This record gives sequence, structure tokens and C-alpha cells, in this order.
Amino acid sequence: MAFRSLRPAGWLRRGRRPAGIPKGPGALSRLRRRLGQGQPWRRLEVAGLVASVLGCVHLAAVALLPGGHNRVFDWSAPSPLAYLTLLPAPQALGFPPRAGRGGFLLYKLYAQNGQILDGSFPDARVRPRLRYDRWALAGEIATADVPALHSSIVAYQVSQLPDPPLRVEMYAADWEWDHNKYEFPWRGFNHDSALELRLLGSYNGLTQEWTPAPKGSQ
Amino acid sequence: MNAHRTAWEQGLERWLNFWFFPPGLALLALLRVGVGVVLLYTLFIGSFDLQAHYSIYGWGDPAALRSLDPLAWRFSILNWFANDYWLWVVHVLALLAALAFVLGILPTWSGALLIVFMLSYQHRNPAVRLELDALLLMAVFYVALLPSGHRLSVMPPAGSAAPPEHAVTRGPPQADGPLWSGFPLRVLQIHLCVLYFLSGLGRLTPDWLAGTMFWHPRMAEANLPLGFEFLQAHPQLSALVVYGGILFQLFFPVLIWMRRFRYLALGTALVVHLAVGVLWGQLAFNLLMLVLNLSFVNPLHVQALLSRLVPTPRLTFLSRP
Repeated sequence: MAFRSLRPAGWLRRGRRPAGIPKGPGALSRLRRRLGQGQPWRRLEVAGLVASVLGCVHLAAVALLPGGHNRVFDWSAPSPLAYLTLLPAPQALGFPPRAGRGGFLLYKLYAQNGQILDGSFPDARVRPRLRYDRWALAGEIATADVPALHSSIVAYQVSQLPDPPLRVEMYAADWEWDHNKYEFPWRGFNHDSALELRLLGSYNGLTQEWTPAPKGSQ
Repeated sequence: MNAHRTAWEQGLERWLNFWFFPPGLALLALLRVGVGVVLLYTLFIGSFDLQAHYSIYGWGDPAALRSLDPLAWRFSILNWFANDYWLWVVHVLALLAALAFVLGILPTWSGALLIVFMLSYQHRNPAVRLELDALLLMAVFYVALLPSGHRLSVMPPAGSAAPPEHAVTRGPPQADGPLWSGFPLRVLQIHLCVLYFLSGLGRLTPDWLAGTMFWHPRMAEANLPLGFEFLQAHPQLSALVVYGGILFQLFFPVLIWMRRFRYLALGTALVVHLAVGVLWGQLAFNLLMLVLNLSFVNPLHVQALLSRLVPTPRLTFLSRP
């Protein structure tokens, strides 16, 4: 009696429809109607079991491979799983997510009137915070070793200026701080962090060409 | 043998009761509106930098940006168009879809459309993909699976009107909604718990545990939170804040399932997310977390609250006969 309740009723039953009985709604419609109308459990047990087990598999993937990437074992999964888990790998909640990193681009701009101006990518004056966060992430990612990206960023920055500059030097900037200063209590812990610069390349305003810096140059 | 069968059946019933339950249509509607409003705000703010981030004349070389995308399926509608006119057309369509989602106009379909738009933005320029985007994608995905258009909607499905207040029902009050719709909501709840736990684990690093994250240059650069100097002068207080936050994230997934502590956990989440949202300026992200936390609230409480605050007939003037 008890196991009979597990038997799928109706919509999973094999066999042909007797002649003379008009064709009813499709299997999907019938399932939807039954699920929607809150039928007794016994008619839904199989569908419910299948769905809940699939849900568990999905949640296990979310826990073990958020965004298709296991950070502990540095193991990646194929794209479909990455999409289903719907999370990027460096997921962090609540507190500022990228507080552990702080890279951005710094550029020196040699103007036609002889002035030398400094600028940063992102522009720290961008508001509201949501806009700034996107630019900050872009700046951080742009510090990676991708010359094509540096070239297009310089071209974009130059296009935003009223007068084209003679020369632009672009640096990847990273905040580095002294980890030896960890001590308790941290009274008056000063943020005398150093800004480390790494030359990425230079842009010639006359030829409008970007020249990446040789490897290892500072 | 019979007793064994009964125990098996009881276990099965409990298991299915856990996953399938009436979630309360008012609660689902509130989730939809909350998620939709945050999404609409995000898309609107994105309008200011639309061309800079997503146009082929923007700051990022498309080929270089594609190489940064960690996902192999880089589908994006925005890659179909080579001029900014169509970029704006797509963006306006995305805004309209988000508005339809908020207003409850075919939320399942507008939600599906929004997922396509959001993935398009994220794959067009993965260098500006924030955690907020991933969270929004997750939220819209689950809410689109729910029948969230029955309440707080300008176009509710036929026959979905709320029962009149004077209607007499037998037995204790029960949440409304089809049983199957409890399933996506339950998955969303557990997904949220996984998020909290992973986030808490991610904070178990020397920088966070030493409490020195408050002094990180990036934090100083943003010139937030308020009272930064005060925290700097009282390191014990900053340690309390940091450890409190980490403990909250680690234990929320446990406490939230214990009926006695549920509202305590939700109250703590409210304080933490509001504080972080306001002080660190990340209001959209934390507001979305609070909206998703609504999924843990008793649907009857939401139903009672909404029936007092929002008279249903005013919101159903476009309902089909």
C-alpha cells in the first residue's frame, strides 16, 4: 500500500488511449495543472523526487564550484556548470569585495604646452559608487599584462582630451604595504603604504602609436 | 515490514514537504519588486558609462576583453552591432524589460529576457562585471521561475485576485500559492546560505583576521566608512566589527533554519547590510541581499503586512477580465 504511493499515476502510465476517448491536453499541460492545483502528494512523488534531487545537485555545484571554479583546489568545470551556478569565482559578500587588491593605472601625460600632468584610471571622482566600482574593477584588471588592452585604453583616454598630448606614459600601480607592521593593538596603524609602479608602455602623440615596455622595465 | 514502509513514506513526505510548499504570493511579489528595483537602478546607473564600457569605441579592445572572459560561451547580443545607436536600443529594451519586471508584466518572460540582456552585458565587457551583477543574475533567475506576478502587479494573471478580507476560512491561516512554487524559493534560500558561508570562509585570511583590512589603501582611497579615524584609534572595536561580520556570515546559514533564531538572524542581517551599504557606499548590493533575505520571512507575515499597506484593487486595474 505504501509503495503504491510511489507509483506514478496517469501521466507516466504506459499504454495507448482507448479508441473513442477524445485526446486531452498534453502531458506538459497535465503535469503543470496537477502541480499547480496542489494535488495529493501521492500523484507528485516521482516528479517531486526528481526535481528535489536535481535541486540538490545544483546546490552542491553552487557550493563546490561557484562560477565553475573551485578556489580551494583550483579546479574548473565546463561552462554549462559555470552558468548554472551563476556566480563568479572571486565571490565575496558584504564588505568591500576587492579590498584585498588595489591595482589601477597611472599615466603621465606630456601636454603640447610643456606641462606634465598625472592621471589615473579609474578617475577617483566618478560618482555614484556603483559607477566607480565598475571603473575601479576595469582599472584593476587593466594592470594585467595585456598590451592590446593598454593600447586601447590610451587611445580612449587621448580621445577624451581636448588637445592631443605629445606623449603618454602608462604605469600599472599597486598599493604595497608593510606586513611587518602587524601587531596588537594596532594603535595608530599608519597607512604609509608604498605605491609600486611598473611601466606598461608609452604612446607617441605624433605617430599615434603605442609601444609596450620591454619585459622587466620599471 | 509495514512499519518500515510507513517510516519510508513518512521520510519521503517530510522530504517533499521541505521542497514543495505554498510560498505566499505576496512574498513572491515583494521579492520581484525588490529585485526589479535594484536591477532597474543598476541598469540606469550603467547608462552613464554605456558607450565607454560596451561600445566598440569604448576603452576596451573587444578581442582583448574577450580573452579576459573566464566563461567559454561568450554569447552577447551587443556583439551583433557595430554602432552605438543599436547599443542604446538594446539598453533601452533592457530598461523596459526591467520596468516590466518591477510592474509585474509577464515576470517570467521579462525575467528571461533580462537574463539574456545581463549575460550580454557581462560577456561584452567582463572587465566591469561586479559581484552585484552575478547576484542580480542569480536573483532574477530564481524569481523568474516563481509565480510572482499575482500580487503587486499591474497585469496579474486571470483569476489571481486575493480573497476578500471578510472571507471566512477554516482552520489556521495558510500561505497561498501553488505547491510547486515553493521549490525555486527553497533553492534560492539554500543558495543564499551557501553564499554567506563561502563569503565567511573567504574572510578567514590573515588580513581580515588581523583586523588590518580597515587600513587598506583601497579603503582609505574610497574615504569610507564614516568614523574611519575612530575605528583606527580603537582597534578592539574594529576587531569586534570584523569578527562579528565573519561570525555572522559563517553562522547565518545555520541560525536561519532554526525557528527560534530566524528573526534574530534576519535582524542581524538587516543591521549588517544596512551598515555596510550605507557606510561603505555599496547600497545596491546590500539592498539586494536584504531583498533576498525576505525569502526567509514567514509568508503570512508579509501577506498581513502588505494587505494593510497596499490595497489590492488599486494595483489590479489592468487585470484581464
